[in-house]
Amino acid sequence: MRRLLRFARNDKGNNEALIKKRNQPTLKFRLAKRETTNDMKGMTIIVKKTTQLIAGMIFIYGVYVIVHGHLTPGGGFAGGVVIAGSLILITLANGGDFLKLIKEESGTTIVESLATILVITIAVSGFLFGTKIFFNNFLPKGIVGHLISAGVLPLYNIFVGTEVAASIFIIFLSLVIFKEESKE
Amino acid sequence: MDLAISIIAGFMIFGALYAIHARDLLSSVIACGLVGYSLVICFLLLKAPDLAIVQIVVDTITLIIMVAVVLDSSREESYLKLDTQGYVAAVTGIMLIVILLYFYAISIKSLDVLGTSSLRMAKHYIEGAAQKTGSANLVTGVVFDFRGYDTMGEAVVLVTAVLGVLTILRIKGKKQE
Repeated sequence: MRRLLRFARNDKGNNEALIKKRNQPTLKFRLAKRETTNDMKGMTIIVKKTTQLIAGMIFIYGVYVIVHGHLTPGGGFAGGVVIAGSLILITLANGGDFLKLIKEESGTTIVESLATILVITIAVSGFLFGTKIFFNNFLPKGIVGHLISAGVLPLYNIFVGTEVAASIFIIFLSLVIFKEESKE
Repeated sequence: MDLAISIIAGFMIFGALYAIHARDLLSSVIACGLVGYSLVICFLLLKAPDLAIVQIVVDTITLIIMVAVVLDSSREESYLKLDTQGYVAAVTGIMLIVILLYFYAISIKSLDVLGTSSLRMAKHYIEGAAQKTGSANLVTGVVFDFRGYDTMGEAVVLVTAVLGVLTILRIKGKKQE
């Protein structure tokens, strides 16, 4: 108690000077920390580790929703958005470099265009198998309720799923990238 | 079930009104989320799980993007003063709402109950769709087989939307000109 009292008495005299001395380094530290968070360095280590655990499961769930689209509720659009959500989660948590993001953006653009072309190719390829109907279900239909059934519909689901995932991820990435570009 | 849906619809109207009038833009974005998630419960009550899954995921991602935009730009709403053009627009809007409600009140007497249909095509789709398309999920059967054109149009619309976003948001191309 005595020591505390002495400390308090000593403090009263040069209070302002002490506060100035204490505050100067902390202020610098805070400024430095803010600069690092603004440069897309990602979040804390807790968020990063939890993302590593969860993102893969979300991705696999999206694949499940797409592949079982002709059996259970869901399908290409819902599963594609789930996959895009897992990718957005990884990008938000880990940050990542600017150049890496640009590479990913060009990759997803190619994937999206390829998926759209494949959807139209399957739709047209019914012409090659006899009947002259656009969007013809030309493959054998199998037993209703099995995983491999329903002819062409699972293929449509897969391609539409990749297309939706890629396009939503592109929109998110472009928002991040163009924001970084505008700072320079 | 009608009572539950009307209560949830009341929640949605409350959330939409709050989203318009909130001063903090972050809270207005969260009120928009209230509207979206009550729509999810409505879809589940009306036995449409496909729509509910899509709505819940899309709403979450939209909320993330909107929150990021609000945190980056500004949290306070900028108010505009009403001039003559604004008064004209407000009066036109109110008149349109009155006219639409009047015709809605007339036409709702001749509509079917929710869930039933008088169209010939709807019955044709539902009867034996599993045998025709081979898919156990009727929605996928209709979306990709009977209405393939619609789905292709949707995919192309998404591609066009992405192209539009990339064109509008690019900055390096604008500087070079």
